[in-house]
Amino acid sequence: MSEQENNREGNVKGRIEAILFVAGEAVPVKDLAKALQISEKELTGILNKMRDEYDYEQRGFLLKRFGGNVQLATRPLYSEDVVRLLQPVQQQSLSQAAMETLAVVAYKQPVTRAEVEQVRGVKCDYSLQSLILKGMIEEAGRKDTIGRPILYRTTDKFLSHFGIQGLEDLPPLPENETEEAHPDDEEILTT
Amino acid sequence: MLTREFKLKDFDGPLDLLLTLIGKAQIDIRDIFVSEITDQYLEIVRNAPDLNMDESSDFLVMAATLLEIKSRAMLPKPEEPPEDDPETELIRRLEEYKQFKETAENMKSFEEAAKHVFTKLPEEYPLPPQEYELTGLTLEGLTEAFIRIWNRKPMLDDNPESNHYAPRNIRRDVHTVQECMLTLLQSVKQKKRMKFEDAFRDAPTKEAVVTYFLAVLELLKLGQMHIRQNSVYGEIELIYGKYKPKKETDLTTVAGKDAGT
Repeated sequence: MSEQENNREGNVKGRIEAILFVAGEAVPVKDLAKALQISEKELTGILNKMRDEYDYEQRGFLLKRFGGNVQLATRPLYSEDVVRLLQPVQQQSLSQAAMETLAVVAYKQPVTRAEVEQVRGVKCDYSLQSLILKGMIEEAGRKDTIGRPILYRTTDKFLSHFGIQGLEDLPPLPENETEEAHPDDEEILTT
Repeated sequence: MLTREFKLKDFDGPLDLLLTLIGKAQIDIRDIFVSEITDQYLEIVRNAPDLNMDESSDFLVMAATLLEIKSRAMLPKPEEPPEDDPETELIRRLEEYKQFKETAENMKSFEEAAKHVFTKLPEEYPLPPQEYELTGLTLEGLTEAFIRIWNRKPMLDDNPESNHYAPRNIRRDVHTVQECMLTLLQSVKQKKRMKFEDAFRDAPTKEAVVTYFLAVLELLKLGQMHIRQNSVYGEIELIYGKYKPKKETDLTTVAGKDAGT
């Protein structure tokens, strides 16, 4: 990489930092690229570099990426220090019922209320409603079936709440040992 | 006794309760029907002290399913078990629910980790002050212009037809008779008596005048106030309280009761 290119990249990094600092909130990568007048692809490359640099140097900032957004956030390593002096607003934990409902929506989306209830075996209208209010899920059109029920999906805020970049970062569903093979009764008895 | 420790409201539905019983007995989900789990489940539901229909209907449906499966087990088995065998279906559901329950647990640790990442609110920075071109403007000119605009307003209000083809918003009634009655009653109660004209002081539009007038009539009808006019074309007064006749001959006073009719 030539010196000139190096300078230019350093310059872009500074501009990105300035924008992200003032924005505070998550900024869509698309909008950021437009503001910097560079391609999204180039920007993504630079953002990846910045993230790695921050991580390597254990800087106070980290680049939080989720959905198509990027946000400047503090490194968990220093959270105790932050809390000691300031009292940042802690995000609220979800209740057990809400968490289970959210898990079903996250892995089966887009999904209807009836489908969620089928899995959990209880009414879920309340927990779905509270998840909508918390911005964790949103409506995603209607299912083409009798009654045209509403479909739900997770939001970018959901990704942010769990600190993951995309749905692919969700932990894989645990395997059911009994599902892999169908052992005969005999085998079960011997184990 | 085991079943005494369990309360329905501690569980997120029948699947949750069944899974907990299975976990406690340390058996495989597939062995549920050769264990005592179903009997335990039925006993817990039977002993539930406050069987609230709203909360417990799911538990009862499951109880019925379990009973159905148990009674089927007593019948001779068909050679090929049908696809929609309730036993297979229940085991499938339990296994699926268990998956999501465990996943919810995993997600909690993600949530916990994300709690240590802080972000800040967007900066609030003032916009640069706007500049105005004010050459040649006098205070008198401004006043005049304002009065012109002010006078134009009621014209539109009075004559909506003048703007017949323009789209119009249909507004919610700003003044309701109820509200006006309250306002009127408060002021007339305070002052004991007030001029009829003063009742419309707070009425800037025709609509409001009409509403206030209806409110006056309504209050008279209800006997909350009465009305007095001492001479023809004289001042009309609104007086708080029911009319109490002093002399039979006082004909100029209209009793509140009659005014509404």
